[in-house]
Amino acid sequence: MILEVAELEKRFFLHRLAREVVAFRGLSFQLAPGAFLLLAGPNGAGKSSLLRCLYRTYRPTAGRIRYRSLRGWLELAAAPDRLVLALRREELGYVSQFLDPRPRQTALEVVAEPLLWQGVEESVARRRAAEMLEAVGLRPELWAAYPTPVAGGARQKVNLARSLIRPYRLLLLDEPSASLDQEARAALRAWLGRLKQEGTAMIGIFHHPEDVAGLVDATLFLEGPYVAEPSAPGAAG
Amino acid sequence: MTSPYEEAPLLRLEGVRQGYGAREVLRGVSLELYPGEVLGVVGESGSGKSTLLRVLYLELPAEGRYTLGQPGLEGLNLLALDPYRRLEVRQRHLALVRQHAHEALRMGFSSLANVAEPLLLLGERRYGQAATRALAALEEADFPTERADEPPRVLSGGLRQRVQLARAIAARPAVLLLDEPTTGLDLLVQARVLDTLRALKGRLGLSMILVSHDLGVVRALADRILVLLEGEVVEAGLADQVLEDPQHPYTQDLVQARL
Ligand SMILES: Nc1ncnc2c1ncn2[C@@H]1O[C@H](COP(=O)(O)OP(=O)(O)OP(=O)(O)O)[C@@H](O)[C@H]1O
Ligand SMILES: Nc1ncnc2c1ncn2[C@@H]1O[C@H](COP(=O)(O)OP(=O)(O)OP(=O)(O)O)[C@@H](O)[C@H]1O
Ligand SMILES: [Mg+2]
Ligand SMILES: [Mg+2]
Repeated sequence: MILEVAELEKRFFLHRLAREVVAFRGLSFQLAPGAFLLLAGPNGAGKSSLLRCLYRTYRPTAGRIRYRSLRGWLELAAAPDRLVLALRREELGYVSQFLDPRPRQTALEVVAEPLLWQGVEESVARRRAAEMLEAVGLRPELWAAYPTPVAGGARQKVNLARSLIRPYRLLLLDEPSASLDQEARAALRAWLGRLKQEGTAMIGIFHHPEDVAGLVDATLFLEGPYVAEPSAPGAAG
Repeated sequence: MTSPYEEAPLLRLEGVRQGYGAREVLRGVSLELYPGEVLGVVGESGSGKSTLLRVLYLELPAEGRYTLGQPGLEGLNLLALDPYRRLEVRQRHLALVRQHAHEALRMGFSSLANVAEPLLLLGERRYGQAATRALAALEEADFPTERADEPPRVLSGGLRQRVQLARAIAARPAVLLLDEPTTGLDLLVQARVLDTLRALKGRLGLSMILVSHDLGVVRALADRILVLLEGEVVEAGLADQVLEDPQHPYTQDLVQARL
């Protein structure tokens, strides 16, 4: 196994509204290297929140996330921030539907950046970035453009190319194909297949089954949405 | 829990208190800065952000413990040093970019001289050598070097900040402290200064503590964020976590106010 999640729960305490929102609770599952887990469930069931807890953008409120990193087994739910940053740099990936705004960086620079962080030489990084952009089907005339003001589909290709340019041990995918055209979705599907063969474990949210055809090893249904609950007395601060 | 991850901080503050007269402005602040990272500090006006930076710059006395993991300084509480040693540590290891350039620069001297000055203070004997290094620093700060002979007095706000930045990085400080480096600049200029800071982070691997009341500025640069409220740290975490899953009511308000 590479990941063992037990009784994981995420609640949000909205202090001003004196309200508690349960994103999900009581989730347990395991994942082997190279395995692909599909998350399914209605809107608001907590699918994105689960991925974000695994990436530690959200702080889980209960439960355990045992992760076998290159450094050995560790408890992600309670790992120190600095360790999480190192894992994100080295082995943990998260691809969402959206590219963080990156003003005044060209598509090629945006894609090459993760390689530069890893110490890859600039000319090599740019060449591999160009290969990635080609693989996801971004028109070459956009390579030197700033992706942020560019239309959704093209921007998402840049985002994907950036996310997939380096290997991961565990890759979290939050509707990465949502705004892509047919060609790009097929390219993504092929790319994920290659990662899977290389042993990358993946957890993903996809709305079109054909985007992950032949990849899925198991499906986890999240049943929410959970009803909002009033906070316990005193919890509103 | 034991972690397979051990890392020594570059800078550590423990329980630091500082007050102006009877009023306590920092009420037991602890924080750590690790090599190559940017720590963002946010909080409303008057929360003590500038005071914290001035303590870190060894410009204000304070109670508590302040250590730097630099050769020769290990285990030394910098807050307990005599003024002379303190100045020495500041000059050799620290740099501060202030909110108002006129507090940091000699407005009537040339920009080049402003940047060369700390190099000369640090023992560079040959003026020509100092000038060459100063010019290189101005270039790193994206300052148009053909204007290096002009004094900050005649420069725009954005260019003044670049002179400050060049002066701050010229001697390669261990820690770069930034106090609202883009506040008061118009948006485009602000964005360009942020670009420069991001490039410096990447290229030089500088370790920085960045103070701002603007969450956007902090989000653009910080790896981790610390939230200061009335002189106390009420929240600290990964930058995306603090902004997207804020825990403390005050942080929730702060994030909400931005949307
Ligand atoms: N940062 C947040 N702060 C407060 N509540 C949140 C936050 N993120 C998610 N939630 C709440 O948690 C619940 C689960 O949301 P989540 O986005 O995880 O669902 P989802 O399954 O991904 O839905 P969708 O299919 O619409 O993307 C929702 O009630 C949502 O409002
Ligand atoms: N030299 C001083 N003498 C007396 N009081 C001071 C002095 N400098 C700051 N203070 C007070 O200390 C408190 C914290 O000030 P500080 O400048 O550190 O806040 P800040 O968070 O940087 O605020 P801002 O966002 O407005 O820059 C304020 O109440 C301020 O009035
Ligand atoms: Mg979602
Ligand atoms: Mg201030």
